[in-house]
Amino acid sequence: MPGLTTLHTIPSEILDHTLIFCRPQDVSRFSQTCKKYLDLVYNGDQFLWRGLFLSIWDDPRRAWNPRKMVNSDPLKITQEYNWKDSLIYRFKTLQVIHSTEEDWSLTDALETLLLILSESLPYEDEVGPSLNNISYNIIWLEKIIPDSPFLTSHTLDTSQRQLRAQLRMYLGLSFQLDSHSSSSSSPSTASSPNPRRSARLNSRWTRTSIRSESRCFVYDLRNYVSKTLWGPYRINVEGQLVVNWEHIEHIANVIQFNMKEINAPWNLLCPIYSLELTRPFSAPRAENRIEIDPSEFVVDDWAGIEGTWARFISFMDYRELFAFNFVQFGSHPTRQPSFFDDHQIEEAARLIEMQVKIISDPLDTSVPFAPSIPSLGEEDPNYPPIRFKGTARGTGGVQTNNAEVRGSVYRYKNGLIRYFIVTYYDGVGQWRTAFSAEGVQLGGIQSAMGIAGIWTGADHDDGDPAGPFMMWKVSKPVLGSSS
Amino acid sequence: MTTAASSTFNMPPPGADLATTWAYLEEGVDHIMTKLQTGVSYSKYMSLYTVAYNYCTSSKMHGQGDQVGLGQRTGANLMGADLYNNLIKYFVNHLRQLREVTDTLQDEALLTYYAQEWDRYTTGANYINRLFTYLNRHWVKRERDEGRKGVYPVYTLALVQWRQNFFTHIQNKNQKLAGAILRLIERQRNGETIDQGLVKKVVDSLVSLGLDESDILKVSHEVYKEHFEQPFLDATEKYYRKESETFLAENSIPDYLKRAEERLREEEDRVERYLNTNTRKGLISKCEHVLIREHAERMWESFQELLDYDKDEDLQRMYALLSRIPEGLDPLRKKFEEHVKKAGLNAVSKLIGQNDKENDVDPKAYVDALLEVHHKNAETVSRSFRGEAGFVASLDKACREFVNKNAATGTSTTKSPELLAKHADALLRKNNKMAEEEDLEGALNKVMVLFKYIDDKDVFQSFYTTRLSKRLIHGVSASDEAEASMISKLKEACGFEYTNKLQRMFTDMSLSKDLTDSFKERMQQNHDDMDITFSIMVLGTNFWPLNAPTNEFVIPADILPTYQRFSQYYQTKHSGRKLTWLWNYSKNELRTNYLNQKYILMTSSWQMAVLLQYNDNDTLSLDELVTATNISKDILKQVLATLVKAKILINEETDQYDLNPNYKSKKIRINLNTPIKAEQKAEATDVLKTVDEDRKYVIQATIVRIMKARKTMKNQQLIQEVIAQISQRFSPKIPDIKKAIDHLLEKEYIERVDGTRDTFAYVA
Amino acid sequence: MVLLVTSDNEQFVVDKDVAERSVLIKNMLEDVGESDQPIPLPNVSSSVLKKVLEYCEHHRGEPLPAADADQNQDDSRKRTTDISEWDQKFITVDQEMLFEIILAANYLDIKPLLDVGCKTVANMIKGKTPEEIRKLFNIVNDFTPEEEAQIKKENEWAEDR
Repeated sequence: MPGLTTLHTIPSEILDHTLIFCRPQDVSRFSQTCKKYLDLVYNGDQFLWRGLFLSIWDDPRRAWNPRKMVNSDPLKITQEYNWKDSLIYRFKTLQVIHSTEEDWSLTDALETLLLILSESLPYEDEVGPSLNNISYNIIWLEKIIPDSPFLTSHTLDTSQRQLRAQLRMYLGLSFQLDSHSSSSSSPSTASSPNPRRSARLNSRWTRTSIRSESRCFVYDLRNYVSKTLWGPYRINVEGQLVVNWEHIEHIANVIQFNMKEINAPWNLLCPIYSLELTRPFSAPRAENRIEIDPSEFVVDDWAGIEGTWARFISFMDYRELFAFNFVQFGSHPTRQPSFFDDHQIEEAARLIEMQVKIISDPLDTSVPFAPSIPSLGEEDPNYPPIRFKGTARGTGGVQTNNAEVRGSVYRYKNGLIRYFIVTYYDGVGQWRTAFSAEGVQLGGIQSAMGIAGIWTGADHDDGDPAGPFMMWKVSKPVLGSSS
Repeated sequence: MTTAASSTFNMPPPGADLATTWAYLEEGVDHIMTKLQTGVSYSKYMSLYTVAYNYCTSSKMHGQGDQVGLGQRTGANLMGADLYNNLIKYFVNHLRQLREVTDTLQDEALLTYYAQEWDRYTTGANYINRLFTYLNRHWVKRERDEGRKGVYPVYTLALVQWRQNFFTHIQNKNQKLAGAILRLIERQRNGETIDQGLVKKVVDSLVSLGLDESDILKVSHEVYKEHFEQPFLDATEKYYRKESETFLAENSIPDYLKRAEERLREEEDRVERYLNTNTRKGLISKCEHVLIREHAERMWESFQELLDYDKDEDLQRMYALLSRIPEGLDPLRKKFEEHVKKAGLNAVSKLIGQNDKENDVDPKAYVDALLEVHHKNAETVSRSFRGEAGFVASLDKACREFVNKNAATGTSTTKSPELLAKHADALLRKNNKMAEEEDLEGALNKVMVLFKYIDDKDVFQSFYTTRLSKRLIHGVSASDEAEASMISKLKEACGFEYTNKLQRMFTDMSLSKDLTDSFKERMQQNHDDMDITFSIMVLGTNFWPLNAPTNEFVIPADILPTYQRFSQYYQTKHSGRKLTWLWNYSKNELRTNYLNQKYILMTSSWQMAVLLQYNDNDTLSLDELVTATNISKDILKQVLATLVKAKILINEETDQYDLNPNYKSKKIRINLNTPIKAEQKAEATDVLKTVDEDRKYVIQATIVRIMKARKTMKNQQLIQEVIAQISQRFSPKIPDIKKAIDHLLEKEYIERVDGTRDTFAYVA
Repeated sequence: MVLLVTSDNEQFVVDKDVAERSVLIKNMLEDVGESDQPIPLPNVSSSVLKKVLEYCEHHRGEPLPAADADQNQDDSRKRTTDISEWDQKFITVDQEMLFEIILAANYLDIKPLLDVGCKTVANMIKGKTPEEIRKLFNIVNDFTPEEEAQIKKENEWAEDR
């Protein structure tokens, strides 16, 4: 007898095959048993690691922008993906975000989470949502983030808070805290599966305080100045203009709370936030795609502009807005969350349906280009700016909200997608009322989550009001197509 | 059957080294590659598979920990590479031996050898591929996953080696293989029979040799294209250029057409029989270029001749060939158009020549002549040119030209519609010889064929209306159905507005019949003394092209009561309507009581008025008659002349008219009511005058409509728009449009925009 | 019917469609053609073949996995847990037999059986410490204590906090 048949008798390729059925933790422990297996696991080709990686996450080669695969540093973009290092890095990230100790690498970890999110499998261009189109990145993130201590930690630095705000908003955490109201108002609460999430956060943060805090930030007129373009931007330490994700999170909070209190056609409603909505191309597709005349100068609609959008805007009564910003009530200083609690202030909210079409004629100058901002980064030449125009009409028969809409979209090399929108109400020429808005794309390109931003008076006069808005694509017009 | 499997064929034991293993495998591989026909037993197959498998999985035999240091690749890699490299070595050697033979072979012998070896080699390689499945599944796959170039599954490897070591070797000698195929194909083109299966096999092998480095499942045609397709297309071009030039030097175009058609069919067949289908496009377009395009000029030149002699088959062939190249048919269409136009003009000139009186063209002969030209050429279009739209357009254009303007019309654009309308009238009259309904329907359809080409459709409309009204008033229409059918055809061609009047005329006729009946009924109740048979037509002024009498007329006492009773009756029925009595269109029948034989005289109102005077007198002077009837002398003279000619009256002394007491006639019913010459002449000019009036109105209305929509417009733009809108009915003349604009400026429907000369604005 | 002969010279007469669960046998019959020759299986012993045939018998008639199933990236997502009840019972054998089945399945090219075997081994590894794994599979620890500590440190990424 040449010897018993044992694990050692198994050819290495079959051992590889076996290990792919294991969890990476188990493979790691297996590698620690002896030199031969250490060598097998760590010094072979990428076969084993690719298998392990793909058993957990989406294939980054199928991500929307595969050139950005390796890490967030665009200089290090390479064709080869290092499956082993990436897997190990992601596991380290998992450890970091679950650690309660202050950790210098939390920034890296949060960036990694957002990177994993951005690499989630896009919806197929033609197919649309389907069961086969599950994103494992999303499932993984939904599982690991909600019970991470960083979500409510008070010790984060600025850049960490920015990253956290983004994640928290995408997960729909802050405004879904009150389990009572969310379970009664929407059937899709099932998609926020973690009951621990609300319990844990609830202890520190109550629904009203979040709402008041966010209103307090959003309606603070000091936030709207020329150097941040009266939009949801901030100046970072390098002096660059960047998206202020904390601002965006407040916008989302205000809008989402108001959304719950408005009666609107169900298919115009904003979808309940979850990471799934951030996936590239998850926005509903127009049911009747507009036929393109091939003789026309055609613009590539990379941003998925054409079609019907729901736009939700909120604003405060002008007198209240000024009271909030400039008047002291008794001993209360201005701009305090308590203003909303004490005075039971309710904002006004409007749900608007927009029908938008791309302008392909380069000579049509009726649409303004947004102010160009070098500090936002270089525009990506692969995605030339798109200009669009269309009409807006209010729901609930509120005719006063009918308006003309014009705007443009830009994509910067750092991935930011920026919307600039001008709305004209009543009248013509110089006499009409105009509002301009700055918004940014939430999640991946053409995501179902849509756009969030800030509107102000188009001329930015002193004392102009300002307020938050969000807009998202809907599959078909509800109020009927505009003529 | 108890042979121990492991001892079969002296298999090396598991863990044997490479030398032993490969020695065993090589013997088996060689057997399969060279002597497969002698068969392979299950044992042999299994032992070869097992030895290869054992070697690939033998990494374990190196034992745990032995010489395994960090940084080395796993054992499977080394083992697989061993076998793989040895396989390469084997294929290279094998192919080197095979290729030596080819050095002495040429043409068919070379192809035969190549095809035979290809069959054997690929069959063997398929076996080897299966035997080395384990190598493919693990080592090859992982090498490829890691992005290593030049590693293929074993079967693909075999093809790569064939290409490098065998195929390229032959091709490097002056493209010996491709040359052999091309020469064989040339022989087939020259009419010899060749082994097509052989060519197909070699050509197919070239397709198999194409390889997409990144995806081995994908077929690449790169080898086929480079080594066969391009040289083949070049040879084809050369061959046919030479052939077609030689052929044309000795043969006529019709013969060449036949040859080219045949050649194209042959090449289509060739693709089907033994080439790759992707070659079709390139091959056919190359042939079309050399066989058709390069000789298109000569084909175009001979087209006229084929047309002149009705060479139907040749025309079909020329059409089919030239339709294959871009713009090949354009010159034919132009020539055809000229041809048809000429034929049309000649036909009419010939007709005029026969009649030699230019103004007196017989409508039927004219229409028949035009129709015949159209018919013949329409046949040609549908038969020889397969009804192709371009030729239909040429035919239509030519017909439009000669139908509207020819030797019979001179410069007049109204002559053709007039003649066509007259012809239609003749067809629809009682006395026409079209016995069968279907014949009539067919003839009317033919009228419509020409009607389609008429430019001035409004002229046709006017003549047709006039003629229709006569048919109806005089009751000479052949059938209501035929009339209705014609009207519906016109309606289909030009719309409701065009036939509105015509339809109203029929309505009036039917209402009049009812009216006559109810009037008679009423009279029978009230006045049983009425001994005059009476019928009446009440016709709407706007719809009928009729004129009230220009002369005074004393209503004879004999009919006065009837006249008054009807007028009264009508007023009670339709109070407020004005009746105008058109005596000039009335007919009367008089019975004679003064002769032995009783005759019935059919007369006009004027004739009746004259004849009734002779109830009381036997002789009357012209002046007396003028006084009695109040008919003007001029007309009365013509009336009397007719009666004298008919011998009812006798005119022996100047201005003295006596009743002829001895009047005799063979017929009992005598028709005295023939049209007076002057009236006949007047018709054409009257009609044209109406047309002109109508046109003025149409142009003005169109301008107003356009300006109302556009508010302001430039002169030139306006004129173009007017022409565009009206040309359905007639071709408006620019001076007429300008006149209309001036007229509208005057009437202040439109005005000039301040500071401009040529821009108009609509005045609301 | 085909006649299979094991390494220890035992003969098995089995239905062709049962034998053809083995892609190796299926390919060979296709290539060489059918005959009544015995098919020697020099790498498989009778005790293992008996077991393997039991599996093939049970799964006869099921569609064979496509030839390029390895390319399918979602393949690796099928985690250890999904072994069917019957297979689970079937594979409940001693370690030696388990590895013998894996080797036979690999040799005979019966992919579903190979997966069942490999998943079972993976399940055995799951959740164990290196020492427990060594014990389970009789692996000799050939690291020095220093090496072991170093390696443990390098593998910290995989540990739960």
